[in-house]
Amino acid sequence: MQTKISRRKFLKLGGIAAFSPFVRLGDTLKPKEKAPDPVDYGGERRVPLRCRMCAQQCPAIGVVKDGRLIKMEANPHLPYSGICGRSRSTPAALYNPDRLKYPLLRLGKRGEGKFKRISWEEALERIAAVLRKYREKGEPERVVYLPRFTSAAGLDKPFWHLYGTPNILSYADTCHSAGHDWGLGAYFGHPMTPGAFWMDYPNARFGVLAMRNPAGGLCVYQFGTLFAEGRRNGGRLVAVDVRFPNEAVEGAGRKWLPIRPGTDGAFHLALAHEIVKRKGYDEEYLRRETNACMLIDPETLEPFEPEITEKVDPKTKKKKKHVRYKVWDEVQKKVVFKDEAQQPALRGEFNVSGRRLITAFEAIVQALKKYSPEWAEKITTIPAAEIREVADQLIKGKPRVFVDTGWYSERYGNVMRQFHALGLVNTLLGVWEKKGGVGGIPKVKLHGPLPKVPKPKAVQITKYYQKKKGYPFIVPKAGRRFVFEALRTGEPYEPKVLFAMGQNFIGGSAGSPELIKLLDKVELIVCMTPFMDESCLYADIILPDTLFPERDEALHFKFKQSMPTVAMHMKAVEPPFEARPGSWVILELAKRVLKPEEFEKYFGEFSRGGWEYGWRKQLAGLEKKHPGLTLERLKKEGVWYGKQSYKIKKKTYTGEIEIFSLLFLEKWKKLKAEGYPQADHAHPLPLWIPPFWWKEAKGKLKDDEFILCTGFSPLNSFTGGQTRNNPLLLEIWNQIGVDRVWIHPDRARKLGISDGDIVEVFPVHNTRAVARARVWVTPLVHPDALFSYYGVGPGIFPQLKRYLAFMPEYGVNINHFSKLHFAPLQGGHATQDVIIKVRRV
Amino acid sequence: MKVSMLYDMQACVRCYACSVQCGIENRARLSRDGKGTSEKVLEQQRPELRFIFPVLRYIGPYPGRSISYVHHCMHCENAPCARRCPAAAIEVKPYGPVVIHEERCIGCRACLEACPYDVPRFNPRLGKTYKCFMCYDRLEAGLPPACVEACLAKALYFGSREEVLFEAQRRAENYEKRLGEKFTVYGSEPVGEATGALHWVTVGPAAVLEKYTLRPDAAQKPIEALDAVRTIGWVLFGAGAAGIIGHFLYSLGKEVEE
Repeated sequence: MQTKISRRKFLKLGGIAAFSPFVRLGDTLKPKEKAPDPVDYGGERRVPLRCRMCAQQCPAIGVVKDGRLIKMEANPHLPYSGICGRSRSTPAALYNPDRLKYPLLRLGKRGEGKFKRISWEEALERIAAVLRKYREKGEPERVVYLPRFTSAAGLDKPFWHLYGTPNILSYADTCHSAGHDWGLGAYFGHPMTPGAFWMDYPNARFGVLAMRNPAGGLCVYQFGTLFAEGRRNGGRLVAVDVRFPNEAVEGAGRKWLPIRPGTDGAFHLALAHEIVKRKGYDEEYLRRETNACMLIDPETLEPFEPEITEKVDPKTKKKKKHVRYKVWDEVQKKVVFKDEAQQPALRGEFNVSGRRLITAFEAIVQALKKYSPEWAEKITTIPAAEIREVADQLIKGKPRVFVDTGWYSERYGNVMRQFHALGLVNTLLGVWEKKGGVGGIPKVKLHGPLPKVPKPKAVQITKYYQKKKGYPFIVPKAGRRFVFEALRTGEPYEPKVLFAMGQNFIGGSAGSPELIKLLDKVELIVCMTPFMDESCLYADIILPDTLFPERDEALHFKFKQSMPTVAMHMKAVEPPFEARPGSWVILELAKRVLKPEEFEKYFGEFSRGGWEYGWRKQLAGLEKKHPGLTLERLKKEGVWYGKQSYKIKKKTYTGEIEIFSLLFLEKWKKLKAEGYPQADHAHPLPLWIPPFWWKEAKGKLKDDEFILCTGFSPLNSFTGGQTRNNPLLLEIWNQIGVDRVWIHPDRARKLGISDGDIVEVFPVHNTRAVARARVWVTPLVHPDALFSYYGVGPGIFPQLKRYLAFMPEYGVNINHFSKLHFAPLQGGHATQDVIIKVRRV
Repeated sequence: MKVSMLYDMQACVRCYACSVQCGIENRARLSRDGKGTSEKVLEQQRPELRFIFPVLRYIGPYPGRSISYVHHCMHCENAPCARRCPAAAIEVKPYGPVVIHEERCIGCRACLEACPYDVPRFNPRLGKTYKCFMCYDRLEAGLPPACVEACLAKALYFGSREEVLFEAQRRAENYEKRLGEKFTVYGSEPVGEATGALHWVTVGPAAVLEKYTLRPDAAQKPIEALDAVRTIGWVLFGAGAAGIIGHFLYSLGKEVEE
């Protein structure tokens, strides 16, 4: 082949050529040298760990050499073992010079970021003094504990309950609670978390990914490894997303359908419409497994002459409502109870002693009539033909298909409706509990490491809002933003102490600037974490936490997997400087705050026996039921697992999968009667409700207006420093531009923005909350959306860069821009549901 | 026996755990070789030490699609880089991998010129060039390469040449059967004269492999021209001794500089 060689290049080549003959000599030599020993070689330990670079706790092995963690590997004793890149970057987080090293006390104003080093003794005594004060005043509930990545699991909850506060509140209202949980929970009668279902990716023929990118979010054990197996098996996928989720749908047989932000519900309703129209549903399944045949009054939607009984659950002693309902029997040609019918009618209208009745399924079919693919196209921008094509593949492939049940839902005000519609599609197709469809997650239950403590008497903040304030679908333990609602309204009482164990409640919750203002009413804010974050800036006392390889931990059994799993976690290396684990801090506080006899009763044995005692207590008596579940095996192999299962637990009134939810009906009626304007969010029939932004913008965004959407990168997780301030991950972020904000080429052109520009991003409702970001102009994002990977930059807190040297200089965090608003009825943070503006710098 | 690697683009979930693990493994090697404590080596930005890394491309117009892949050494049978290296720093192991020895590298960047896949990375501060050596220290100890161990999707696969080619073929056939699209096993046969077959083969949709990612022009890189120049060089400089002394002095000078 002829190529032009420039003079300069020629000279260079000539120079190289001068030495080249020796290559030939080298070629003939046989290598005598043996390779050096691999780094694993010699004197290392391999310690069972559970990774905490994100919240999922995938079982892993830490490789230790000379007292240092040199790398992480997947635990090989699992059939679906695997850990992701975040996990593998653990050593870079562990030995990061930005780690918090000593307890710190605030100097100057909150938010100024001035701190001084204090001793652990001083820090603990200062905290204990305030805790003693509120306990002595008889107001222990004023103390709120916010756990996340907690390093005191198994000890913290009993301590705070014993102390007297019921306010242990997780971050789940900023994640999946309760739009996902109750939207899907309607069908099963109880809230269904993302950890309640598993998609049988390996056996599915076709799947729709909406609100989950299993490779971007990447909870490896076990969703990630199952998903990968599905890919190797050649399953087909369609992703409905505001951006091209390259992690999930690159390659053959996979497709991206870009969707307008916040309109997924309309897409699912159109799918249901098509499935019903083409009679593509699983008729036998609906008849047998669901309450589709239930006869209801078409006006009131109430079941016709049901038999309602109350049973007492022998285990929980709780009363449980049971509904036995009537159907039209096509064989006997009359109304009978379902358990007496030979062939209950699925559809139709019946006249029974002068009353018009329809089946619940008939009501659903009627409600779906208006949600045609053409209707959905106008809202979602997904072409009607594409929606029909997806419906077609679902119908043909059923039951070995799925619409992924998703995870992080709390993005928009209408998500409960969205997940309700999603659940309807899966129910129509009959994919629940089927091979190749959607399974339920089996669990082993372990004991606590401490003796059982009495429950506190005071009312939990979230329960107050659930019972009194129009949020019947709150999951009470998951509602940290209601702490701020309590600060704002004073109801039911003002919290006075916030103790955040790993929670970044400011950076991770919608409406950060508003939350900060409310903190003035709080007497003491304690943040315990290994790295500085937004919340630490406002803390009075910062406690340096360990990273996970630096401590022993309670056994864990809540995994998102298809088989029950228990996993061990043992200390691999020593913590740096004065970092201490939360379990030690909780014990110290317990000693200082509780009465000596209380301490002895509940913590005494643990304080003497340590985790060895705790682990044995957790496993006591379980081996009989679960052969092989012993501490010896866990110490050796790190994990125990049982049999795979597809079963989904149902707690509905009818005991069936309720395609027509009686619980939704009950709550909807009650809210309506109370005149609650947002009652329709609990409507038992399929219903489209637009997101907040849609109403605000009247369905049309202006030229410089966007909806800022986020998604997880497999190389970043939450707003914790372990991933967003990681020197090794930063290297790759820089290579592929993880910190960039994606913008559609047409929109960029109109605004005069070019690829690589730095822009200012801010919300319409708060033009002072400005963050800077680098732009990626790409056709991989919907025109109405700005897309950014979650929590990759300092956002409106540029001062964080002082403490986090390996964080990108620019980048946005949607929570900083959002409002202190709540999704109707369920209390989610609806963080993306605000209008965002972009301007050139 | 020859060994080989497989990258399956269709199975890959683009989590880049391979790249992270490569970076971790190589940093652990630095501390093993006395080039810094295990803490210190982790702080430095050394992107050239991740021998496998993501490259993101996309095609438009809207709605576009991205075509990303992991960039890595192909471990060519004929290894142009090794033939090109004047310092004999690049060695083709009898079992296949093409290994670069940092201590012998003189930083002349001849391998960058020679490589049709744009693989070697030069660090100007250290005056050395880096590239994948297929974890030959791990291989000789009976461990798989670090990236293969890291791959949760089993998109990276390691084994004897025969095993790897069998697995690649099996996967390609399964994808073709399930998805009705043509798949290619790239590198199982010689790609071009310069490279020969590859010890790192790739399974992917034929359309993607041809148009967007792997370089079909790799076979056409002017390696033949380089070969001709090299022959001229041989004639020009004639005596090998001059070259040996020249190289010795040059590399000596380099070491002092460091």
